[in-house]
Amino acid sequence: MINMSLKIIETRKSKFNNPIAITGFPDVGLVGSIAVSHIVSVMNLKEIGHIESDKMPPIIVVHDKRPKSPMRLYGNSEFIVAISEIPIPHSMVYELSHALVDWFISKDVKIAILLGGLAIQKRMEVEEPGVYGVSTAKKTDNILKKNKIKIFDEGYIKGQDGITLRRCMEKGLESIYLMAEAHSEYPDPGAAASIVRTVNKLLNLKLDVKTLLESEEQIRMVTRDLMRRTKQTMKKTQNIQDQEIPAMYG
Amino acid sequence: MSKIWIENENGCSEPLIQINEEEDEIIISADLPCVNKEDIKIFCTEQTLEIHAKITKYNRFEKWGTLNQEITFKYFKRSINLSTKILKDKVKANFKNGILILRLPKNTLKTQIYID
Repeated sequence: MINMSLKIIETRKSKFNNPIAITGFPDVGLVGSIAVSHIVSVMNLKEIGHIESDKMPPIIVVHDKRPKSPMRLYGNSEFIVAISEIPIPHSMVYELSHALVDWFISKDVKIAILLGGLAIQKRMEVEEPGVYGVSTAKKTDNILKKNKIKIFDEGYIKGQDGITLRRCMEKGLESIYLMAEAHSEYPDPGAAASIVRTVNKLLNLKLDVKTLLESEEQIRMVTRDLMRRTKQTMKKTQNIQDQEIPAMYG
Repeated sequence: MSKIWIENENGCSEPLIQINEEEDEIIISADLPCVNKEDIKIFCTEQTLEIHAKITKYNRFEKWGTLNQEITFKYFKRSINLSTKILKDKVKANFKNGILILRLPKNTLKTQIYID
């Protein structure tokens, strides 16, 4: 049993109607972070809460002249979106996954969609990055199949997304993890655009992607420092996981 | 104004880079958004590399997505000490979609030493 020192604080009373939860945390190419930030912006979602933990680095962000937690929740009656402006420390991954999934379930979330990146070497040669999906149940398998999403059927999913996906499965929360082919160490708004297109397809939405692509260079500028810190965290996690990951059997 | 990502006072910023060492060459890439090809200058010696790039396209950002910050950038600068000697006259550079790729052939020429 994990001793939970992590709290989800709701700062705005919200009525949910079987919402869809979407998460995007700093990882490969910041694909998830860029995609969810864009989704929050185009859907004009309001901040509804934040995450507090003694395992978070001692940092706050200041937005609109007010201090805020770097890990926040946005939403409306139909959607809940979780974002983080800092890389998730390795020591916090399990607690965050457990707390988030349990909180989603308490809000009657019908499906969780996790967004991330899949590092590929020849990203520069790819015009429109492909998107792969992993799902946790038959029903979500069918959603991927119906929408012709390529299945990621063998490999590892490291870090926050992998553990959250596993927690969703353990708790019976239907979930899909979408990964776009991306630069491993550079912010990749092009990959984020591919993910948003796929979210549109899966959820029958019409979220604008054009503005994301038009702002590609600015986004790469403003997210460089987050990418740099994410690289450092990924390296630390890699060092720990190199000792933990079991051999794969085909 | 968010101060977490504040850059150097004079607007100088370090680009993100990736270094891959192959058997016969070092491949260095640098993420240079908001830069035009003609504003990039690359200098190298046998064992160092310097990248200077003037940021001209957009240099002020106030808000994007959930981030709200005011930053002004002027140029990128990065110096790299190479792990091995290279053939500086045979370095190849390519710039596509804001990413600079440099291929630096290693100097693998060996001189035979004869015993007196």
